[in-house]
Amino acid sequence: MKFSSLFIGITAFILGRPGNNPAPPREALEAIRASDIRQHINFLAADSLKGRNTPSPELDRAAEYIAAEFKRAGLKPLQGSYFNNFNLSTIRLGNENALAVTTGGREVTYTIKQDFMPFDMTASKMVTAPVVFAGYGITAPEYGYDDYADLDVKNKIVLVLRHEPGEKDPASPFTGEKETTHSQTSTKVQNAIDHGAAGLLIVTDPANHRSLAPRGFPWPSLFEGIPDDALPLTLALAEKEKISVVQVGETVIQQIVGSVDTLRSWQQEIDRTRKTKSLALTNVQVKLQTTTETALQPTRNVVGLIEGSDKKLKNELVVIGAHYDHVGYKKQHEEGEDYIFNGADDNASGTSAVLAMAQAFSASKKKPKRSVLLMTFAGEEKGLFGSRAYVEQPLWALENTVAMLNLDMVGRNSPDSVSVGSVTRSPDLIKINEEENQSVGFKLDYSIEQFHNRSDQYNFARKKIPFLFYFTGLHGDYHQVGDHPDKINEHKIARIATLAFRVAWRVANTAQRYQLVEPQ
Amino acid sequence: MISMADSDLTIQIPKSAIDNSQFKIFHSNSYGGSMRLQKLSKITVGVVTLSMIAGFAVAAGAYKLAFSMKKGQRFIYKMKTTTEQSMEMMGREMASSVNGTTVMHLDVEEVSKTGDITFVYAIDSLQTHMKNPMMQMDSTFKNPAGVIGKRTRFTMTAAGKKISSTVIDSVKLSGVMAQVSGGRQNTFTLIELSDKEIKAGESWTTNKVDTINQAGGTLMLTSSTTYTVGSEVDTLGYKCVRLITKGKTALKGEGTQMGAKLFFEGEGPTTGVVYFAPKEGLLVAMTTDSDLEMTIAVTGPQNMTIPQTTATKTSLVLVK
Repeated sequence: MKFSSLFIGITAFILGRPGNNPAPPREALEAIRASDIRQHINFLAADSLKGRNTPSPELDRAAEYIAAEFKRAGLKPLQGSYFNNFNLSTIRLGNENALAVTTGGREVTYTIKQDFMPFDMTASKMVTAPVVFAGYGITAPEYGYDDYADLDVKNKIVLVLRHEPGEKDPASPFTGEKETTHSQTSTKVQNAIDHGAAGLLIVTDPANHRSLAPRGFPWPSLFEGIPDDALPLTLALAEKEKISVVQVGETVIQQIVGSVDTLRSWQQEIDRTRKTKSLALTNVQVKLQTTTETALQPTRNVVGLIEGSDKKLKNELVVIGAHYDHVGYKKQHEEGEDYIFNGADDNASGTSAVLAMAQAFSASKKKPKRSVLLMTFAGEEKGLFGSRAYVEQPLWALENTVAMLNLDMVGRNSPDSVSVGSVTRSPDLIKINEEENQSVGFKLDYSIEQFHNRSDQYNFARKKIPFLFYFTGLHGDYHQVGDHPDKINEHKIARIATLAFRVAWRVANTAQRYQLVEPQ
Repeated sequence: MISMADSDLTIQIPKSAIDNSQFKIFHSNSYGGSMRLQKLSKITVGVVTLSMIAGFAVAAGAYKLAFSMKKGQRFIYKMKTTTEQSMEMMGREMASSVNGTTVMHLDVEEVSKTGDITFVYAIDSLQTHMKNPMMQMDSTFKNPAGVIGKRTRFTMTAAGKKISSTVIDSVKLSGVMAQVSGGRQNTFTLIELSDKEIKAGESWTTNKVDTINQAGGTLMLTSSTTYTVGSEVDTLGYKCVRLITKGKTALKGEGTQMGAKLFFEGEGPTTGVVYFAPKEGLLVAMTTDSDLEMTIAVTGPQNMTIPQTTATKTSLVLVK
């Protein structure tokens, strides 16, 4: 070969690489094998794992399997463990719950369910304090609105309306009729805590809603027809300050405010003027007690680390994740009936892809400059709990986490196409993905915005971390007992794992930071 | 993939639980408040019709109300229903509303010697507007195929007690209307008039228990309504007596859908006014407000307890 030809060839090869970026090592790509993926799926989606419900012994078995695979691939534990432990919890209403209101020297004791109802985020506390009306209980600088402006609620019980100003007004500055997060009870509770409130009374806004029944949280113990095991699991984060939070009904409002009409007129004034109407309610004293009992359910994500090779960039992290849990099995079923939700596609497929990528990183003679964390999440099907637990208490500083690639349901439908989420949110990563896909050859689809909040990338996006979300679409076996291993295309998963690995390799071998764009 | 915003589990809540009017109402097609757990709330419309004819006897300001109709008579009623519903799931509140207008007719087929009345009713037109800002849903449905003209035969006593009800033409729906209907055929709920002579200010109470097969199980709907005779007023050209109604409806039951066990429990008040023309023996108009606070629980692949509030306002007038 002539030198000039060789030069041209080398130049063409280098320039032919998208963005002049390092090619992923061949040995790494070759380590992504469909046969391995098939083996992982056959284990994770076997009947013996009974649908990997969170929590369950079978989910624990899956976690042990994944951890063993990470270890076998040479991935390192993080903070001494392959497990990222967190707690889920079931919260039950305690026995001691009381509300008494004193006005004009007259104390009236109210009845739970009939007059007031605790929310599930309430504290186990008793407080006696004066009452302050704080409008909708919203602090929203982006809308130039603050019910707490110039209002001292420290150590006081705050009374707020549900919803938000102009709830039924298409022209409302609060995004018209579509509610904002400020409308949510959890946001109002946190805002009250942030302002130092000692307790929170929430009432349905009477100008827009006829029924003022104290809905609160429907505790099974207060309904004879509602079974206790309907109580949902929730994420038990590190105990933060809580306050007693209840919804109150018409009788309580009549005593505290004077009448529902008065409260309605206050609300109408706020809605009309878009100005807050907060005020201390004189001569009103409330004694509020709520109690809950929390049963913790230890749960764990599985993590494995590829330590970066660059002295500086190794402190930055690329996360590759998939949830490994599914929805369990039917407790009530006929003999001989298929009763196990195997979850082969959802999401043994994504988990197997992550394991294949772990093998690829392990097989590579050259290590990426940035560190890479391979991670499988528990509790996704219960409410994205594993990823939420991680981002709330991360093992690696989130400001040094440069990207997250999530794989969820990647083993079905057309063999030649894959959907990729984040087209509007992570344009930099989308571009890289498109460039790397030139070597893989998928038909890329971006029309999955409606799934954004339905898998674990959502929690990373909430923390401003750019992401890609690989997904091959719903099908008739979605969350059905028919989501069997034999319906999975392991060759497709291998190609998707290859594409994701190529993207991860690119991202992990540059100092570039990527952008997360919030949709308008 | 968590099922948060799509359709893997549908809970059908009986329309009769939402539109728990205590009047003589027949649900010509009782569309249930349909809640797709993930597609969230799609409520329904109530296609509710109402009609009654009453014979009467008046003596010194007292009324003896009894239903009477003549063979061959046709009555046309127009009803408007507004339903607002909100539920809370995973910390998010989902609100939706349904406005419906229904025109229906009632043909009297037979009146027995004992006063039992048999009539056939059917919907002539139906328009439903559904709105769910969270789901960016704002749709109007007109005269859905499979509903218009579908007949049900109903027989009741002169006091308004149901004797029998027979579907003549099955209601068949597709698309969204099928999703929200719960696939229910026509049902009929009566008011039972007092069997005694009553005067202004006097009351009578009816209690009912209905069993509904829905949501893959059985739901029990109990209602208690007190009717109080009010003043006489001119309404739509008729001299009517006002019957002030106040009641309570409760729902309880369970079902199974797609491997999940569902539980329902709720109750709420109803109030209203019936405008009754004693001389003509005709129900001329009525209004009713009903609220239902319900808890829906799900056990199985996912556990949930979902509070739901439904407020329904109904008005009905005799057109012809």
